[in-house]
Amino acid sequence: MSKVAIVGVGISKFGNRKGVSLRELAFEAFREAVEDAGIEKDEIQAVVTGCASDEFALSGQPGAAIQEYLGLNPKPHFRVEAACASGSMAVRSGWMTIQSGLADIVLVNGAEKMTEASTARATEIMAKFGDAVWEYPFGLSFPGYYAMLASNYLATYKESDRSDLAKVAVKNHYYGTLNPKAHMQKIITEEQAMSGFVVAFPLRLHDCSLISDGASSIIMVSEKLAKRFDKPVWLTGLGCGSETHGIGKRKSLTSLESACVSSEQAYKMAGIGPKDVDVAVVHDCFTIAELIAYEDLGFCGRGEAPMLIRDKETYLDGRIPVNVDGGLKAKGHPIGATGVAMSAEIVKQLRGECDERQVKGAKTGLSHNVGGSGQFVAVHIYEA
Amino acid sequence: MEFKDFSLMVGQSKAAAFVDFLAKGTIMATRCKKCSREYYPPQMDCSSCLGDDMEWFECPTEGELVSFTQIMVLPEHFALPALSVPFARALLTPSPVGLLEVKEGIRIMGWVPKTSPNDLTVGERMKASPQVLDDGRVTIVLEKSGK
Repeated sequence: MSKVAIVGVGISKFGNRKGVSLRELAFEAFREAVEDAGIEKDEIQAVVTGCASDEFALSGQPGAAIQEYLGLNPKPHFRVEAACASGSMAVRSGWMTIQSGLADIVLVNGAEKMTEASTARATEIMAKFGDAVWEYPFGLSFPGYYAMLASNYLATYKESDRSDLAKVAVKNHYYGTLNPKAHMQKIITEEQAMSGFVVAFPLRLHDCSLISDGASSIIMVSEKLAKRFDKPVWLTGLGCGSETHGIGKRKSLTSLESACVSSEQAYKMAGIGPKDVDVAVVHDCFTIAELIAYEDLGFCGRGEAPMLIRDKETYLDGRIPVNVDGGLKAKGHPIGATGVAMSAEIVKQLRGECDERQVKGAKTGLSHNVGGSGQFVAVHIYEA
Repeated sequence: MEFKDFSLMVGQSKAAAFVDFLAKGTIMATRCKKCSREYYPPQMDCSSCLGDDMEWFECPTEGELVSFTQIMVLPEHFALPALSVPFARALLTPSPVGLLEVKEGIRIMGWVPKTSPNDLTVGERMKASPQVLDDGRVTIVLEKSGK
């Protein structure tokens, strides 16, 4: 099979971007990606946009507003929705568009403007990403779903402790300060992370990612066009899986089956294993999700994630650096943008452009993007 | 009935009878007559064999607590409207929510009233039962079964 390369990446500043609209956020990321690739925008042949919610966008077909604002009409364009994995599914669609032969240069956008909603409203919108008929009526919020995973995880693995969750927050907050695009630029202590107010027991303030505005764009090209570019990063493995909508129907609450099948597919396709990954970005929408990701991706065995974070093995100089861009936790989590921004971050890592947060000599990267509480997962593997 | 719109939003479902059963005091599940797969929450189509001939059966109600949480930052719909008293602050203490496994493949979600999450333990024995609220709506509660 021929290959697909990523040759340009852009990320808007993530944050509470008061006074900047969804299409304007997308423009910031798009312009950066076009300049990074060194192409003319008219060379783009097809566009895919990941955007999760009309309710956050306060409009229908928000992708259309973006496409017009980027000056890309009448090029082919559609939107992909897979909750918080919309971005990675857009990347997957971009890969498919190229591999099918429909286009040789594809733009993939991810964008979300979340802060126009109040916290209570945003909590409501996100809560209804869960099973709105059978589970939402019990007041279950989005943090509530991950709290259910956390309670079960902490009870299943006796060695684990709530302080292990806090350690994930401490790490990701620290790396957020090394990423100029990150929403949160603040170091926190383990004591702070242990004592924030309870959002959904046992998850506290610092266990939760941020409600953010942001956008990211990448430019993907076919193998034959990739020769034109200096530092192509190849998308060599793709995996994708799904999980029951209702959390009451899950076989396991300590793992996401969708993530396990995704990683298995991606490793197989790339012909590598977890030990070959030099740098990873994983979906830490909540701290517990990062611990579960370590295990679902095979970075450690079942129940061993707490030891991985205690031994600082997922820090920059550890065995497998994870979320050294701050993760969703500190970088922010504009849901539709997140997956594309993950790809952009790994591309920069594999090109050696991450300054203080650079993993030295990284050649192989991985992104793990979860939609909802596991209903959609995409794992991508990248090679320099 | 009004409570269907709020407490469990199954008004527009073929499984809407669930709420009527609940109002009469029983928690019901469905079983596919063709392949015997059981469903809770109930569904009137079988996702396994694609059959649509289902029968209702009464769920066991005792089992082990699989997980729980207590949602302190609530979705807008559940949150209190702002107080009109200046400088006052309302402290809302929602009850925890739990997930009870009553048999393999059947996990019942319910409120755990009058308790703190610190008093709950994964694996402990509990019992699920329907409860009619003061305003006539019906929901499900979990209580320690003391075994």
